Amino acid sequence: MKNNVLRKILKCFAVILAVSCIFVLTSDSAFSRPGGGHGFSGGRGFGGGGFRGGGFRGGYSGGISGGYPIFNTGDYDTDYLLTVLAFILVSVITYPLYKTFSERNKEFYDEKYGAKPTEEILKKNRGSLNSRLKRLIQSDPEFSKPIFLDYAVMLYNKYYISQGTAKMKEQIIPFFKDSCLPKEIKKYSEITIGVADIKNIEFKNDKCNIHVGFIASYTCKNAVNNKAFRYNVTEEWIFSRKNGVLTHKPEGFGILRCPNCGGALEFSDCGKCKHCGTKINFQAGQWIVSRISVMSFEKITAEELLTYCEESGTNYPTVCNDNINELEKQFSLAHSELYKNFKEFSQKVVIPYFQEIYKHWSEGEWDKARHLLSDRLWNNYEINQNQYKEFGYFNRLKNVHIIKIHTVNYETDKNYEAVTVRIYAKCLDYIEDSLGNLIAGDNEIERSFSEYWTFVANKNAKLQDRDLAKCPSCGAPIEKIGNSGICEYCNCKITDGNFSWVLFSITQDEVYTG
Amino acid sequence: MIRIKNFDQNFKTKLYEKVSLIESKSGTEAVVIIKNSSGNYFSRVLAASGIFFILLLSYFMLSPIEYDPYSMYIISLLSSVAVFCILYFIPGLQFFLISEKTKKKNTEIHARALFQKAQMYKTQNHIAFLVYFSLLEKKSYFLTDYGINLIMDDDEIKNISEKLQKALKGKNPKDDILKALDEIATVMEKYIPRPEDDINELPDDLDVEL
Repeated sequence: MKNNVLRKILKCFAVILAVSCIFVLTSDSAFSRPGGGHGFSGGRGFGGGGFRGGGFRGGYSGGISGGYPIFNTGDYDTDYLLTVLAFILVSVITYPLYKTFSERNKEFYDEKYGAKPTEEILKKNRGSLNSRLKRLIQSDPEFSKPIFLDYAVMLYNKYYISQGTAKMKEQIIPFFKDSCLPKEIKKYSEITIGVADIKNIEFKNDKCNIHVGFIASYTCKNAVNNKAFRYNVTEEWIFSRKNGVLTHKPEGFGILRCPNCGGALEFSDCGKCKHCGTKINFQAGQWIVSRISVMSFEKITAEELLTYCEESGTNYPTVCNDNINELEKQFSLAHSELYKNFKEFSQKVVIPYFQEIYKHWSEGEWDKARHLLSDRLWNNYEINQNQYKEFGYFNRLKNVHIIKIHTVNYETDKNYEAVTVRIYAKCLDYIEDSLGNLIAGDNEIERSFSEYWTFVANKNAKLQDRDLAKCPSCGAPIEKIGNSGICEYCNCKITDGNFSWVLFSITQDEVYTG
Repeated sequence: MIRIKNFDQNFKTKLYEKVSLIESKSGTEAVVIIKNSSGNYFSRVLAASGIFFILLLSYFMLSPIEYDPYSMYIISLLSSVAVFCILYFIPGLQFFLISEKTKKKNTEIHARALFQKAQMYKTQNHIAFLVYFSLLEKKSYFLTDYGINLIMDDDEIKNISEKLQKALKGKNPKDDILKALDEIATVMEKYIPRPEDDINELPDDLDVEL
């Protein structure tokens, strides 16, 4: 509002300036023109009887002979027209100048700086976090970052989904400190986790803390008025474990069991496992959530779900490990069956996976991408697909082509390998309904974007020339792989990286921190 | 006038390190925001150029020298436009158009708005504080949540506010700001020591649009 007023006033100024310029530029010829007609002082001058006793100086005495005072062709209408045209011309010329300056000025007024980690600090933090992760793995060889994050994400889902249900206590009690258990019961659904990553690892005297950051969104139904809204949230959870407790050999992703006996999730109200009878607590168990902090909480409207924001992080510099070349060399030497070199990895994994996943996404056939993604990631995006289906919409991604791929990080532990790449791509990205009517986005102009993709594989897996339409274990068609990620022919779970690489996470460039 | 674009990477890194220092020593959540200006002083610039126009025109009219009336008008008009442009596009000069009271008021309003919009009041123990600097006005504002107000002496809060203000007005504001933040870390540590399992309750890259 204020800016509009400002713009209007500045436009007026531009016009006044233009008029003034024309007056100055044309005054000589106008004033010196000989001839009779109306005297200036009697016509549309500054006033009637002259100025300071002597009239308007001799120069004006000739008058303007019925013409407009700026141009003087002899014909009043032509003069008038020329004057208006001159105003318009000068306004058009001065407008870009005004625009440039006012934008610069607006930038000045809007510019602010909030103390935030600079690239130098982020690099330092990344280095320090990596060394602490190494220290943790040294003291606990079975610890695996992908498995741990999967566990964290499962707990996150359980924490919200189980609220308000009869089984809430028996499902989540052993994994949370009392202070973290929900106090206000609300119904949560459609939880999607955009980012889940380890932010910090702290070694205390008697325990180790892992801080996990989540960027997620969920639908929350208020029990009082039964109204449901969707929210974007940023949370930080602290997972604590007593020093000396070691991780069990992981059985794969997506398994949440009693930390003592490995039995299925069934606990009494006081946290006793219904299988082994052990009361699971911080002293005996594995990682438990000791603190939850909701850092930001924003309501999003239905319209916003269909809004296309400007891509903001595509031009950001790639966040990659400092010694990426050395790391790649070591990685390919140590794991030659899974990864020979980056070129081969790109050709056999990154490009085909990228094309296939986006193809199924675009066609709304998310089930067909089941075998390429980890359980968590697939479930996450299934919620988005279901939201589109609910409206009868499709998020079309046409002409998807990869521009370049950067290798970003290699991580390894006793059980799993992880490779992160940054993929730059371009495509037509828009939402249409089942009749083909454009709902949002642009179906003519391609949109450039970049994403960080992390692929994970078990150490025993092998990189093979693989037909992505077939099960990597037995070669059966992928249609026979259910939502559980288990092939109905060979009964093998193929989505936890035991046979080939699976896509473990997709992080948007503007939030990726390494 | 110092502007945000004058802040180099080195200063930004040190500034964040100071914020981290405060948070690592104490249980508080610290946010430092620096803004070029806390208000848009367009109306003042407009008024100043209008007054200039009247004054100049009056001078021409009352001067014993006889001027061409068109020239009088045009020169006055163009000069006032020039004055407007100079004042508007060189914001540092606007400092002289604003009263001390307005500078103070606008800085406080802006700091409070940022505090609210960033939802800094949502920390579990209400121990967040905002250090806000407004460069055009050369004013700072130290805004604390009520958890801090309950624990800390009013004099101590006042003392910190004064130090921050002094830092901004000093000859070397960048260094002085960093020193002032160091002192805040010491004071906060004394009153609100870091608890066990302290967690970052506000995002590191807090970005608030007003």
